[in-house]
Amino acid sequence: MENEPPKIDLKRIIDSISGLPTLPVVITKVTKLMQNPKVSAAEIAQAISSDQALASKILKIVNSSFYGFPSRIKTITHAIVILGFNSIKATAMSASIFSSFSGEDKDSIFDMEGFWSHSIGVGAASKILAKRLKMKEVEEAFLAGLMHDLGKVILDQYMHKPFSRILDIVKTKKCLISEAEKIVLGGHTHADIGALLVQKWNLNPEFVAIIKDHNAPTSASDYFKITSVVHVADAFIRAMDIGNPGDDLIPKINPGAWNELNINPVSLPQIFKEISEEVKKTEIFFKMTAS
Amino acid sequence: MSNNKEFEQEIEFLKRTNKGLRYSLEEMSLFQHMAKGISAAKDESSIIGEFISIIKTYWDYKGFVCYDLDFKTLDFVPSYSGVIDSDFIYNNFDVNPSILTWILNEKQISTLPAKSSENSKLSLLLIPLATVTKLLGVLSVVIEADADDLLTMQTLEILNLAAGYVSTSMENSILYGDICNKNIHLEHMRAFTSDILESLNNGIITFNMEREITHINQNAVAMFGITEVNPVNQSYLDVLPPAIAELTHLLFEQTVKDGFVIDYQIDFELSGGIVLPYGVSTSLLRDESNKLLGMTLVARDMTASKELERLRSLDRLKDDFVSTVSHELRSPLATMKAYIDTLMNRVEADDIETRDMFLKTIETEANRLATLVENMLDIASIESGKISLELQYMHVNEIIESVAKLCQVQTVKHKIIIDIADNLPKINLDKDRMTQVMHNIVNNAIKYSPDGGDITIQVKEMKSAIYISVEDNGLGIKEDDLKQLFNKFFRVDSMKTSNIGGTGLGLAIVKKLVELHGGKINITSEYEKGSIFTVILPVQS
Repeated sequence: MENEPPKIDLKRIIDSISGLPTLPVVITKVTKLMQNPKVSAAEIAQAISSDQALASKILKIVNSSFYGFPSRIKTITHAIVILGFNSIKATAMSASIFSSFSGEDKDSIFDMEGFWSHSIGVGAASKILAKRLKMKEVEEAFLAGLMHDLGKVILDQYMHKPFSRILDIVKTKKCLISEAEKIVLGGHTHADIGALLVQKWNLNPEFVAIIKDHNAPTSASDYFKITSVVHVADAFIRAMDIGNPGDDLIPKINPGAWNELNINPVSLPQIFKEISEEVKKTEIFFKMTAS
Repeated sequence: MSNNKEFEQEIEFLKRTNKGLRYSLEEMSLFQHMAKGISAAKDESSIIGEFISIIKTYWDYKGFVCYDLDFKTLDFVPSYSGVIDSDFIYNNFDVNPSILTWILNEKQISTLPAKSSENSKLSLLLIPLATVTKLLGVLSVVIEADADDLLTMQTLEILNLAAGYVSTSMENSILYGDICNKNIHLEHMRAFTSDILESLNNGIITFNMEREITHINQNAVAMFGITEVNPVNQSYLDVLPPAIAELTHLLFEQTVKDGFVIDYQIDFELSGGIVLPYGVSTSLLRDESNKLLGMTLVARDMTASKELERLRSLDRLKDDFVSTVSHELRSPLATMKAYIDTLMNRVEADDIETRDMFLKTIETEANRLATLVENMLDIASIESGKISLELQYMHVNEIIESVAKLCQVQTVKHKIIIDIADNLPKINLDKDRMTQVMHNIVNNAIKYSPDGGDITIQVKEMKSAIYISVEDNGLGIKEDDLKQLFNKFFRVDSMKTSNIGGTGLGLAIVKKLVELHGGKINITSEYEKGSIFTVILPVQS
């Protein structure tokens, strides 16, 4: 019999990590501004433009094939009025998240490229599923999908020792990474770590819940639908063999979540086709952000 | 202190947000009210009209152009417009068909700023018009406002919602139009089918499973003499005449069991006393999911086909007749010719004995020929329905007694005994024809009892019928021959009967004549013991 796993205060550990990635101030500012429904495009543009690097990345993205707008968009204001407030906010956020974590880490023991491929895939798939379900939160679904496994990066970059044990267990036991995490982290998983991180970033409680419960969507009572979207998108992307989530397995889809999405199995091939097209578009998006 | 300043800024920010939220709430409820107008609008132009009136409440409205997507060329064609035209839009904004296509494909509301700085106060709202299933076009609205300040999150939200209402209403209006068109089409189809049904010579009635009439054509009304003005939706029991209602009930049972009934024959008496033969066929009605809907009944007036059938059988009769008769006529003629030839060429003029013998034979054959011709004419006129009886209300005794007397004269070997019951009722008889019948039967009894014996004619009444039986102790008839006895030209073929003359038509005529009287003829016979021929004639009440 194995020893009783050690009790671990995850929050204390995360709090104690120095140099934990932060979101740029501008994102916090934009998020805050957008709480006011009367905020104008010009005001948001002004806020974004205070971070010139981010502003130019956004302009690159809105003029890329990711949006495919047939005419040149010259200013952030135009980008906002042409593409909408939420699109630009999501673009700004995902560009920021990606650059916060994409720094070279010599100590990394994780296939980071595979990890981002998986994350981009789940973001794109969540977007497609949310669109199909005619949900309002299409951009939120994309962001949540993109961020759902951020906890794994924290493990890789700031908790080397436990993470290498986790990866060993995955290799020997051929189990899901979250099962290995529970053994090593006293019942905790990367989902809990990711949730703590976005909580620290002051993101919407929605994102905290989705990231925390993306493996068990029935726990996300208030955000059950959008959490189910990310949960199913995760399984789809694993099934489609896009990227590397840290293990080779496809977790069982939660029946409650599956029922909530009400997907007709007949339309699955079409959904998979749409997802793989969206994944391609989104990969271009990240190439632009990194350059 | 800077902390203090930050705090003030934060308060200022929260105040603004709060105010924004409050306004937003008011605007949303105003919008909800106006959106009802879009929902209530029935056609594209009034839907767009309602949408424009919402735009007017939020911005300084300049005009609009609606671009419809042409599905064949994929071009955008200006359709409705208000105040401004398409040129105005193309002159003032960097808009092109690919932008319109993008708007429509992405279903994204967008705003374009004016092309040149002198018109910088103008903005172009582009709203995709698309239903769940169809891309319709793009509505472009010009407003007087700086694009940068034009769209707040709130207004974008409202535009999005309004565009959603527009799409739904468009979908509804298209569906409404489709339904109207389908109704018109259905109405055409209904009239078309009804015309076909009416133009048929057959009577057609359809029933549902509750046995109510769901459709009936004019021919059926006429054929069944239906007097009900509105037979549809009524039970067949209330509409159809009793005989047909009874038939319908029967056919319903059988059709549900077997799936169909073909040409059920019924003679239907119309109100004028005219009786018409109908052939009634039925089949089941089912919907596309094979669910039973009811039954269709087709009634055909068979008068014409019956007449045709009668003519055909006459034709057949004539052919049979010619082929059989020519043979029957040829043999006596051949005999006569042979005798006459011999008489003329071989018999000496003074050989009177031989001449007399030859002439007697020729006379017999001539008589036989005459009888044959007479019989054939008889049977021909009976079969073609040309004969009519001259009925008189009389006792059958008279006929029996005269026939017995006549036949007794022809024979000494036989004794004809008559046994007639008392108080027999009178019946309708054609005296000559019934005499012919009885003479034939009694004569046969004599012919086929070559050794003589009693021939008993018994007459009695039983079960409202007169039974006349003629019994002999003659040769009797084999069972196989009994069946064919009444066929034309059938003759019992045996050594014993070969010398007995006859045309083979006598009994055929007898049977037809008895049947014309509404009667029947029976035979019981025992080979080599004798036969009993019984004529049964109905007593009219």
